[in-house]
Amino acid sequence: MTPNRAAEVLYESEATLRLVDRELGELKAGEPAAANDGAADGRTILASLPYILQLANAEIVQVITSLRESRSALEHSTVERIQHTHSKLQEVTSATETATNGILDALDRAQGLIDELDADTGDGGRSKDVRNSLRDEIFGIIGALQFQDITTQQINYASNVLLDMEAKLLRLMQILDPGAGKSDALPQLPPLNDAAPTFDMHATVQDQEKRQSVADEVFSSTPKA
Amino acid sequence: MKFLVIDDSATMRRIVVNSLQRIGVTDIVEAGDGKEALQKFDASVGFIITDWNMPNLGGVDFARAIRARDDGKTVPILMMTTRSLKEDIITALESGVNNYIVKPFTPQVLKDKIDALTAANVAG
Repeated sequence: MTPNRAAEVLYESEATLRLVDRELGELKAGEPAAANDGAADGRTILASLPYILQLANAEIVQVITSLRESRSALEHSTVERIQHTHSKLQEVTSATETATNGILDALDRAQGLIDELDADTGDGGRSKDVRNSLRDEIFGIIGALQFQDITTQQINYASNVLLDMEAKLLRLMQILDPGAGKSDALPQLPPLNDAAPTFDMHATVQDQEKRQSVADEVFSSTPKA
Repeated sequence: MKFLVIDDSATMRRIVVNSLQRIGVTDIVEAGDGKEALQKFDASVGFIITDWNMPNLGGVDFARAIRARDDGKTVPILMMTTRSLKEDIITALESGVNNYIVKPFTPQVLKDKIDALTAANVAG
């Protein structure tokens, strides 16, 4: 079932509930009149009661069917998509970590090779300047790899939002159809850990100098304890 | 001087260790979170560089725990984190952190902070 169909089913469920509510309201409104108009009217209402109850039962069955469809739609479209996206994000984190460590390994080897060149060619001449420049370049690349830590925190934040959405949707499904119990078809994601997140939701590579200057200002202006 | 580098990201630890080695630091101990760092800390540690957001024990709680120890009252603690909201920085300061680097750091900023804190510690 598509999300659009899910929305339609929910809309239909709401419309059916309104219909039941209206009919029950009409039934309730008729009760005082029946009491005032005497035994004849009371007998008429009593005679029609089985029909009214049958009608109400049919409406309730229809509502329950719609709610079950809504629950199924939420479970099999939205929640599945959330779980798929969550696992894809974890894959991205793992892939960038592996790649970053591979680059760091290669840079370590490159630094070792430069050290070997130093040992072979000695201290003099332009060759030493080139080797020092190479070291600076390698060091610059190593520093730039900090992006991996920062993007991992950003991805972990996004994953945490997805987990939160999933938990809320599962709660909603329980409300819609508590009798259906927990689905075994969907794997359960790890629980949220809001108390001690291991990521910064504001992590960014932008405006580093500006953000560093805020920290410097706080530390320089606050008297030490 | 022995440095204790604490970060739950193995990549970040490698980058920090590499930066320290470049400025001549060779005695370096690593920890993946504050809890592990507390176990590895002793009086021989002369400088601490710690991340903030970590599992088990974060950087701020770690700093408080270190300051509560008799052998951890004066060791310089440098917080290195992505967190840069002013209230966060003040929280770090109040926890006992001596200075603060916002990631991504530059090697020059790291060197300047280490030099300044080491000089202040010697003078103090």
